[in-house]
Amino acid sequence: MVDIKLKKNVYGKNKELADKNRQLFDRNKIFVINMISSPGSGKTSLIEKIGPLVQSFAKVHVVEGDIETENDAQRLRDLGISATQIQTHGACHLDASMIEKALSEVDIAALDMVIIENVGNLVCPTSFDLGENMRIVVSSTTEGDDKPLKYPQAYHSADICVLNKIDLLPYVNCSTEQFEAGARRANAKIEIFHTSCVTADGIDQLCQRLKNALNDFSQE
Amino acid sequence: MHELSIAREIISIIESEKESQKFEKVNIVRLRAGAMSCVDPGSLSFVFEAVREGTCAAGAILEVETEPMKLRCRQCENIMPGKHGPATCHECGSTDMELNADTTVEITSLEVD
Repeated sequence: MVDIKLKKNVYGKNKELADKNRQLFDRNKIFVINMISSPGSGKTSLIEKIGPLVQSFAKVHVVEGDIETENDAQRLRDLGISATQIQTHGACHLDASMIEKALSEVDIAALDMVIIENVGNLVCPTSFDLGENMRIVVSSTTEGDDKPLKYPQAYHSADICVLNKIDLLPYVNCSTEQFEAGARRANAKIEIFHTSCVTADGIDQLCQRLKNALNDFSQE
Repeated sequence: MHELSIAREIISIIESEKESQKFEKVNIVRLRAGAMSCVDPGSLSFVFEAVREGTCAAGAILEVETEPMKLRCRQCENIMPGKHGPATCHECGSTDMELNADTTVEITSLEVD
């Protein structure tokens, strides 16, 4: 009987593919965003709002991830935003190989930015690096203010947190102070934006942040 | 979640090690799971039993060591056990605490014949 010491990461293969994606994106100067949230937080609605504004300064393509349907990609195409739909037919997260395959069918040399809307799930996507430059976690006021305490991994791994549906604050039991405290406990550096896709509150600020990030990336 | 894809990846790593290390069969697979890895050892063992069939790990036991969650004091850098939520530093009494844990899941050793 022999004991073999190893240090093999079970996510190692995905990490290798993610790094390959990252190199491809860097070579083509594409800024990639991975958006993670529970189902129904408003990821697609946010992209519907920020997409046309981002198009004013960047050529953007969206990769949508859902278990079934083309619905989300179609919503964006109806607004003139180019989009690819990945249907996982069961997988609860997108992984690096799915992104590589989806973008192999797109003329990425012409792009400045790719926004990936991950499968609605606040757990599994956090473990799968897709090769992104920025990770955004989206929550909504209707989900309660203890989301960051319940799902710390999602906030720990994100660069930006968007608290969406702030127009509903008068009608729901959600303290923005508690929410932000929880998010900062999981991640001291996380930047928090408050948005509403109904009133358009916070949308310009979020777009400006993405514009700044793209500018910084382009100058590296 | 996605314990099935983790179990499949464990088998894939084992088959690759079998080629390079030249062993015949695996008796024990030892895994370290970070406190924020979201792996459920029970579910993982359950699906591992299914995917190990017909491989050199067909009779292998999976031993999963999940690290406990820790907190780090941003004022005095003290690291202590704790859960995510309001907490007070045992050293300096500050409530300015953050999570100190990782999401890694890795095979740390194989006991083989």
